[in-house]
Amino acid sequence: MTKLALVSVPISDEARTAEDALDSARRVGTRIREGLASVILGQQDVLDGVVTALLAGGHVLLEGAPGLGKTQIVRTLSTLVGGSFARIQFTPDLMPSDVVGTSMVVTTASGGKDMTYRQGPIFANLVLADEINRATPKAQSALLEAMAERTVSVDGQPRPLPAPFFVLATENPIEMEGVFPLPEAQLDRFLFKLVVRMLDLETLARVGARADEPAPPSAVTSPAELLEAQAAARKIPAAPHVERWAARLVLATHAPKGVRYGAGPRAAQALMACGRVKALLDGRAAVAIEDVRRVAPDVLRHRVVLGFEAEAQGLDADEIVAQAVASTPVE
Amino acid sequence: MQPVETENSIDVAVALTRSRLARAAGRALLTRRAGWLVAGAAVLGASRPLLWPLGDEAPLWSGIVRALGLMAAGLVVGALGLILAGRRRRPSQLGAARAIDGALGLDEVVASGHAFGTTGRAGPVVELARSRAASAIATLDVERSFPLPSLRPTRPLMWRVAVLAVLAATIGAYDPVLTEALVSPPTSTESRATSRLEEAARAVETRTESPRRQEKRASAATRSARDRGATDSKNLAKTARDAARAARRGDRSGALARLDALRRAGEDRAGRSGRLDDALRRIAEALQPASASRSAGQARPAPARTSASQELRRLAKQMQSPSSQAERESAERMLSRLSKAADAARRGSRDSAASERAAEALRRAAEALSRGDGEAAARALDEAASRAEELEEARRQAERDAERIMAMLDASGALERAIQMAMLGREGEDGSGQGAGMQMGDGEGEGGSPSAALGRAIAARLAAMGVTSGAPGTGDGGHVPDRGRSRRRGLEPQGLLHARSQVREGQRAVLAIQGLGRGGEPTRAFREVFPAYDAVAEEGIQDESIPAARRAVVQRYFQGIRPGH
Repeated sequence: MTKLALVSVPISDEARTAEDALDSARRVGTRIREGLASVILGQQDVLDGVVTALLAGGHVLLEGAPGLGKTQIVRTLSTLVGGSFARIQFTPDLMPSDVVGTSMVVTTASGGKDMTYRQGPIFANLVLADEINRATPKAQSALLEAMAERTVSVDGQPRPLPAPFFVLATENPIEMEGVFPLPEAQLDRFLFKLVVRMLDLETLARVGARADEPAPPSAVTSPAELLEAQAAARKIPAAPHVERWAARLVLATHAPKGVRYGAGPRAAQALMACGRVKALLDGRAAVAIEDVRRVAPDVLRHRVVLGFEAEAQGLDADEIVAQAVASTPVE
Repeated sequence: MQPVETENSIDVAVALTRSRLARAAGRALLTRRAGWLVAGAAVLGASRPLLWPLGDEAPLWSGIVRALGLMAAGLVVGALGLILAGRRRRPSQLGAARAIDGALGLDEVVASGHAFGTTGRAGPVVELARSRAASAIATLDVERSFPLPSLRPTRPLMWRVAVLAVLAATIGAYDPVLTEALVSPPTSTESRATSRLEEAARAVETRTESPRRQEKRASAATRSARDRGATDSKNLAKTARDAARAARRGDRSGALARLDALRRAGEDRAGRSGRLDDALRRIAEALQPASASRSAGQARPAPARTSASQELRRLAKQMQSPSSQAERESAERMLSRLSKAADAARRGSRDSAASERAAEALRRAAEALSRGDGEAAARALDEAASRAEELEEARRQAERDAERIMAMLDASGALERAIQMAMLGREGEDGSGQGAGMQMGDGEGEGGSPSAALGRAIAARLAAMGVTSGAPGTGDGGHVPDRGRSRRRGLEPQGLLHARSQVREGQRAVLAIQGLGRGGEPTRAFREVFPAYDAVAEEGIQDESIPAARRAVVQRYFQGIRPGH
């Protein structure tokens, strides 16, 4: 009989504080997830991805046909988080100043004229960039710069964006005429690319049975609490073998035949960041390989650039990522 | 229960789990490869005829035991090898920690805690992670969490083992001798001939043991000669017993090979005995004074009336006595006699060291005499006389053993014939009477010594091996010619071989040879037809239908073409 009897040794105060912070952060995530699920029927993976990206401090690109609840997700999320919300409808005539704001000539109280900066819709905690691929690359780049640096520069003056800052962009894979697909370098700025798929039969039936629009939920957290949760998630450690597995996975996306460009270093960072959030939401104090494996498709699918050969074979990025995940050995 | 500190509990649990997983891996590999293992062991057992052939003395049934033993050994060694190989595939420490996670339904809680401890990472959350890992393994029961695969064989595996064991034993028991013994078991004639040969060999061995009682009284030279003779006889008897054993086992080829060796040894013995006798006779003749050794009108020296040793002693005395005949005889004649005697002794030196030493002593005596040193010559002659006594003892020894050795050679000839008949698929009874060989004298009227007669008698027996020169047999077997006196006209003087009357094998041999000469294909193997062919030729020799001058040539020819010769 080989049974171990633990002689418990109390953990330190710092560890206990860290444990409390992790619990608090997990509760924040759980509340947001439940709030979203109370409004949005189905789309469980998308909701999980949105919450994960929110806690990881990244941005999400939602791809899906119209009417699948993309905008509803962001609206509900903004209500749940309790921060400011802005929606930008990207159109071909959208100007960068329409996104980041502009300086205007205003009459002062003394009757004089002055230049005053008027903030664009980007200055919000949650920004919905609807149909981002319909805007010109110029307007797209204004948004993407803000996403990466969390500041905007207007008239040579940097202006920080509010924290937390979370962009959720949508794009429509159909009606592709006259659109401006996002360049790969800019796609890399999105932590996740979530694919919103058609609802299944049961869910669709439940949606149809709804007589009224669901009542908007009340806020379940605050931007400050969200920031604390994000900080707690970042502290979750990963064992070396998990970090190496994530790195191997990234390299594995370069190997399959037909891949023009594999994922880059940002993908490795994204994998670990999202893995931490997954561990946090599962109530663990360390990242597991399984956490990384679960987020791999959402993190990698928009970072793998397929060549003609893969497209000719009918392969898509998801299949390439699945191959890479399957072929990456565990130590 | 094993109380463990939290700090170490993870490492201890990982180490215990790793050891447990190693055992499990060994068992798992063994059970997974059990089918191959059994098949491999069966192949090993079936390969027994190649790997562990039966010796000449091993019982035929031991092939089955050896095959099963090899299979069992293969199973044991293979199982141990698989277990060890499986153990080498044990997981790493991290793998063991991950296995604990899997057993407890956790996502790398223990693996991460173990990894943080290994890499020495610190921090509040790391401490928390290790603490949770320790808590997770607190209730770990390694034996229950990681049960060992059962080694109890399944029913299909047992059946497979049984079937393959039977197969391995069947194939592994194969031996050409066994097959021959089963297909054509030893005939009653062979059994009787074998018993007879064993009895004859026993008689030779008994005879060689008895002189040891007189050992104390015998001189060193006599003992040496007697020892050599006894050793030779024992070797002959041993070869005969080996042949008999092979025949009893059903190993006809082995028996024939040994009988052939026995015949060769007999030839050697006969030749040596004859040469020894010749050497002694010539020494004695050479030493006798001319008046005694040569009578008027004789072209050749008369046979010596005294033995060589007596002659040498007499000469030694002459050398020591001043009024001896040696003084009267001229030194030149004496020297000539000693030189001839030395030459005669040297001729016999191929078979005896004593003969060589006698020759050396005689040479020294001649030298001393030429110097005029009578005393030294007398001493050398004394020594030569001692050596001659050795040779005479050896000759006497051979005479004593002659009868039994001849009986043994007769018995071996009978066995050889019985085997050859059995190989032809026939069982017959050979003539077993005492043939002319026992009654042969020298026929030349010159030596007449028992030893010379012995050599010639053995040679005659040897020549008769394969055919008995006795009376027709009275056995109850199939119809096989006795090849005795009743059929002594089988070979005609013109040299054409005709297997007339009942010699069907001979006819077949002739037909086969004739057919071959005409471009036809032989229908029987040479080894099969040879015995009958040889028998006809031997008949010709025995009934003197072949001229005496050509008999040796014919005999040599047939010995030369004997299968396996």
